Amino acid sequence: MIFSVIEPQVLLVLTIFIPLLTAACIYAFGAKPIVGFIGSFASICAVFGLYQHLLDGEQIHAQIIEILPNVGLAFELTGFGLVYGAMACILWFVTLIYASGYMKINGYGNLVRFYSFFAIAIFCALGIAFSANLLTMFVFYEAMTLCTYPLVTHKGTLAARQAARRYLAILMGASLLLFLPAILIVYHLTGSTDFVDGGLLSTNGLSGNFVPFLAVMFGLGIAKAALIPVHKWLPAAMVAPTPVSALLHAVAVVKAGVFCIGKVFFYTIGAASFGASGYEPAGVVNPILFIGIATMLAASVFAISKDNLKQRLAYSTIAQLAYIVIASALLAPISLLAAGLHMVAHGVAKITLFFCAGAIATATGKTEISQFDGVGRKLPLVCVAFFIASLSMIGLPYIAGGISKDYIVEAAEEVNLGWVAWMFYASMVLNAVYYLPISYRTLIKKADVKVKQALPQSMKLAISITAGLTLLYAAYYGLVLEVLKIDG
Amino acid sequence: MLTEFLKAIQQNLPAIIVALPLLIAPILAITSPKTDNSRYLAWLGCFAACGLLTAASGYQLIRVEMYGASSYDFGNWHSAIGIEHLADSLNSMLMFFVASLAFVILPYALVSVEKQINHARIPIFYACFLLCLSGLLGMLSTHDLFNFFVFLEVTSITLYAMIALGKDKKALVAAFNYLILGSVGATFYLLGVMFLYAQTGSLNFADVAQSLASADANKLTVAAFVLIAVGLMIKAGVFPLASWLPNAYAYAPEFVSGFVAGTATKVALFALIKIIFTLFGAGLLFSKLGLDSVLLVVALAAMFYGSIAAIYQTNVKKLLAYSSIANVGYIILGVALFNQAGLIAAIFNIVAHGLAKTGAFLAIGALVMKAGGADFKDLAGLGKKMPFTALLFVIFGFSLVGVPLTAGFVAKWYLLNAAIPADHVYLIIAAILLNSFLAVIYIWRVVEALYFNDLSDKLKKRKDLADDNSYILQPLWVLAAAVLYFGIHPEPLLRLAQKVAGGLL
Repeated sequence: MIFSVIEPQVLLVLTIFIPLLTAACIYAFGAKPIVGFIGSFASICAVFGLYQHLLDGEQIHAQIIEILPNVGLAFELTGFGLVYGAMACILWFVTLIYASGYMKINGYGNLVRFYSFFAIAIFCALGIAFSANLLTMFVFYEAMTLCTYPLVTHKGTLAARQAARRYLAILMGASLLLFLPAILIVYHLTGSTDFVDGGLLSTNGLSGNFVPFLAVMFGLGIAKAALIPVHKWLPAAMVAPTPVSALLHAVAVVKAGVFCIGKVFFYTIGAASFGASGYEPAGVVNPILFIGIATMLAASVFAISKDNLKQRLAYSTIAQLAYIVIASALLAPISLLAAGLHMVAHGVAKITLFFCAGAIATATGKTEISQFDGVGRKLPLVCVAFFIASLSMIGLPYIAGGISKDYIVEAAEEVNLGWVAWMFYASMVLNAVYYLPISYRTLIKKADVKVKQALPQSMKLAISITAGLTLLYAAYYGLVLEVLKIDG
Repeated sequence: MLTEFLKAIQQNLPAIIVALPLLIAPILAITSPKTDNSRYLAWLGCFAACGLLTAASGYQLIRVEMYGASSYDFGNWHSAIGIEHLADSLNSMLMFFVASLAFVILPYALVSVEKQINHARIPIFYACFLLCLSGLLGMLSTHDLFNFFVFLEVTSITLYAMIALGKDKKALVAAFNYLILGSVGATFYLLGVMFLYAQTGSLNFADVAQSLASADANKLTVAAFVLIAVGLMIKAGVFPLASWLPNAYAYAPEFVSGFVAGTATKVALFALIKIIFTLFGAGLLFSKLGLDSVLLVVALAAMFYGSIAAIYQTNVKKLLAYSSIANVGYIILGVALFNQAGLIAAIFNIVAHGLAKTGAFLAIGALVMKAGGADFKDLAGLGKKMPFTALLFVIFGFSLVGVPLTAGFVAKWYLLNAAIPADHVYLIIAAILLNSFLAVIYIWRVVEALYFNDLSDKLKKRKDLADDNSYILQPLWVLAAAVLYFGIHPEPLLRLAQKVAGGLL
């Protein structure tokens, strides 16, 4: 493969910039689907090139710019980052398949802007995934907020614009007022912002009362993880076209949030700073753990009351993101393993759910769950895929979300916080309460449903791929696990 | 022969830098405004003068960096009775900044001035511009209190004239307001200098500073300081003395807005820093008078007032003007923190904000000249029609917000670090970050109007909506490159600022 002959450092930087090049090509050649496919395929290949290097045990670090001493842009290859980056690239490819049909059949215009900003968002996701210090992470994090704005407001209506403003205000406000000062505190204390194994603060021997405080600043400042006081942007972002909701607000953007939180807890603060050592629970319990648990349960309760499918999925996303935040916040030795596994499991399942929501709306014009009676008889593939993905959301054993959920529960038991498991069982019940009735309506209830327009093959293909990935995850999650274990 | 000539130039460099524009200005004023070519000739003279000034001030900067500060006595009169000009790190740096900024943006004037100023007055305009530049350079280089006042007035009067030359009738009122307040400021300054003269019997900076340092501070000294500081604060546009600023910036011809925003207030701020740290001595002002708390309050008030007022503007040029008030607050905050990092932040910000704000005004000006108005509804949707101009505005806007990789970020980073040892660290950091957030809001409003709103009906019919020619775009590219360069590689400027800050404290 050509990617094996490139210098590893160059490959790392190239991987990040391929989506940006793709965006430039889309701008230059127009919104031809083939440009996007080539770009996303190249990204996937490049990520696999990095995967090879990672398996070979190479340490890849690339410093791009140093603005001030110890303040600059730098990238490094880690297993956790690779899992997030690979997921973003692969699902980008699938989403492009879906979008090529969806955008056409729904008559969306302005496709050049749409596809190029889509690619730039993936560029930012990869920048976050491979960032080697907090500043790099922050730069790409903010850039991602800005470049997804045109996607959220794509419809251009007043409602879309108001929602997009809320999106921008919450994400930007939280990051400027909490995330940035937290970075500044870290820089002030240690003179560096680098990610260090075992945590920058811990390796500098820093701990104390300020650590939980700092954890809250990071946890809420990284509002993309949608913990409860700063979650409102996610339901607002649902005005976007479905491919955007699917890829960005189920995969790239929200996962960027939980990825950053995981990264910060383990590579910036470090479990030892909380007083945790090995299998002993943290002396100071991480406040984000409680915020996460509260978010997980409360968001599920909110979800039950939502009749609009995309809104319900948005609240479900908030709850599922909390799973991942909880996994990190437990500060157990296998926390990041569990977080990474659930990140992928939720990614493939939630994107399927959004694809299905978009497909149902396209085919029948129905967006409210109460109108879904009998839809499954006309759209069997879509509704079965939806059912599979919702089982994963609920977390039944032997299906994607169930496996990773077990890992999170195991992480909780590792640090003697067994009661957290009961919270997850409660969350399972709540998930079942708002997911199963949807499938009951679509698959079992009978009603006369008119199909306004047939679904394009591309949308069906995309849904089949992601539903297939959800099913296959149980068999192949070992691959993800292997990559995550490289980080140690 | 030639070597002697060059040597003479080198020896009299400080005099030449100030006198050259003074000498060329009257020549420009008498050129004929009738034909395109003769007006072009006036511009060419102005451009050539600025080029020479850039070269001369650059040469002076290099000399100061190599051999240290040097002083120059006009006409070989001893500084005690004559006029002394001094070239040290800080003022050589700023002189080079002002001269090169004028040089870089002059091509923009060729389009802007031709379009917006009555043709008959164009030669006068260029003469005014050179006089103004001469005044600014003189303010920077002089080491004499009264001479400073002279240059201050030269700058101010030519600025009133240049603002009043705008075609909008409101420009006249704005210039008049500026005239009144500016004159009050100048008078205050002069009164303060008079007090100092009465007390010390000298007008030379170094002499006065020495007498003040050796004597105990009395009420006259304090009164002199307050008068001088208030006078300069009016000129610098420090809230609450900045009521002249929004209208003057908003209704001036586009080129003038850009030039004034980047230089005039910055030079007054430089003078303020110089007065505080070298004339009266930081010890007296900060430890005895508690100037730091006063400046802190002023800075925070300016930041919040400017940012919040900017959010509510419907006119984009006024929005940028209010943002200037906020940014002057940042600079004052750096001074108020009274430590090395704060002073570095202030000096860096003078240059960073000067570049970004000039660029932002010129970029918006290019859009305004096409759209025929500076309101949000006039500029809506122009991002698609004039992609480069809009993109350049976004770069400058990012620097104003303080996005990493722009010069604004480095300035803010230093300011935040400077705030950590301060007394009210949480308050100050919260204020800076909150202001950054407010800056995001007002810059984003412009971005949203440019990119996400539809063109107004009036503009939909226009066929000539496209990026301007290179006269407009090239200055903007150069400024944007500088903003990005100092954002990615701030070392050269930081080293200078560090040196200066070390010398002042």
